[in-house]
Amino acid sequence: MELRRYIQGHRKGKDANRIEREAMKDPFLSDALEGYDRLDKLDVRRISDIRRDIKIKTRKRHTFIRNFSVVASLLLCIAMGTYFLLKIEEIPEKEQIAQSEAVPDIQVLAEEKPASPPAASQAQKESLKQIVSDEISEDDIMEDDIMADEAEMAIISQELAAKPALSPKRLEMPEPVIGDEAYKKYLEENRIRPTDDACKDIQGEIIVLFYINESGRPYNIRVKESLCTSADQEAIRLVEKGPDWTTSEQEARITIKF
Amino acid sequence: MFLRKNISKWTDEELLAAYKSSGKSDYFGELYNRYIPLLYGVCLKYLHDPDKSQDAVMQLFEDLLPKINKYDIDVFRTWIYSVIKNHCLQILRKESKEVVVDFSVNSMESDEILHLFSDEKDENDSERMEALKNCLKKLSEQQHVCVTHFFMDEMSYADIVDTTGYTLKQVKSYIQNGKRNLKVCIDKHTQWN
Repeated sequence: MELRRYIQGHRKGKDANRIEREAMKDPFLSDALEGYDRLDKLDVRRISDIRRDIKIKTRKRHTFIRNFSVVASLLLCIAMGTYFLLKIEEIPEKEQIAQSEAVPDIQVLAEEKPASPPAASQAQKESLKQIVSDEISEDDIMEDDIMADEAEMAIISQELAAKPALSPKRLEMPEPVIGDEAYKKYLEENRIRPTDDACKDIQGEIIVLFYINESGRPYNIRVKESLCTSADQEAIRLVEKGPDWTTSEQEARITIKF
Repeated sequence: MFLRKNISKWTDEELLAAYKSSGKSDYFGELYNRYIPLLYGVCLKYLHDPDKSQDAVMQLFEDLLPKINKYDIDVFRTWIYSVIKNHCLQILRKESKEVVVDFSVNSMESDEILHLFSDEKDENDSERMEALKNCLKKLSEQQHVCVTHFFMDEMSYADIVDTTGYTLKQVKSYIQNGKRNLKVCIDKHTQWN
């Protein structure tokens, strides 16, 4: 896989050149390469780990039910066989105990439901297997099946509820009064590239931080990390002389690319 | 289960449709897996940390699995890129007290210049090709060297670093500025003619 070789550090030759040219046209690829450039060395196992986790999560669903029913029916046979053996030996008390033991286990499972880490579902599945391996009847197995699915769903829906929606909402945060689009345009049209030798060919991003006063003017404008002195100054100048912002307590942050 | 033998050859949109109709998560898993290297990389760009990035990629998968069928997605690749970017920016917003507003002033280059350097040219380009030759000569030495190495000799950034002794940052900068200057110059040339 070409991309994989490139991010592992094979950056020479025509193949590498092709990827680099591709990145000039493709922001997705370009961002990703930027991300990998940050690392000193790439642990490729991470990518395989993620892939493996996903495979586990997708297989788990429908094969879980299938495997479960196989195991369940096997154990059903064993259970029934043992039941008849016991009946022959005439010890009815044992059955009572086995059944009453099964019920508290299921109740414990129900109480465990609210626990949130995904590890819980793993533990639950193991405790489910425990229950199944005890001698219980077919009805109880069906209940466990449903319990397991419900437990899984409860965990997942809780995690989902805790996560924010996919489209970010910007509440109470400062915004340019003229709007993001117009502000971007202002930056593009008014940015003056530095002309001094040190900075004229510099490339990079400058993060500008500032607060907004009651009149909507930026103050306490500073650069998070210096790129190049005159470039920094230009970035600050752009914000200082630029259009108004909505008043807010929050600190504003913009990124300007040179 | 038996359909799986060719699932890796399916297009993104086919996989998505299959997931929509069957509800079998294998399809979405296969699709998402294709983009892991890119998704992980983008997260690294914004979050910097490998652990956080890994978590973010997995988290997005879990978020999307039940929801994705509700979205009307045209091209999956473009869509998933903006989704992961928003996802990572959101994580950043939660962590820092600063407001993260992503203003990237530098837009993607059009592939006009790239096209002129490639082998697939036609007669309509001859005027621009002529302009290109002249404009190349007008570039500064560093920009000229880097641009020709990159586009004509198909050398990678690392190769050019080795040959010229410039730093990686410089090479990228010379190429970027060189391209821009060429575009401006070529546009000027062809306007007057």
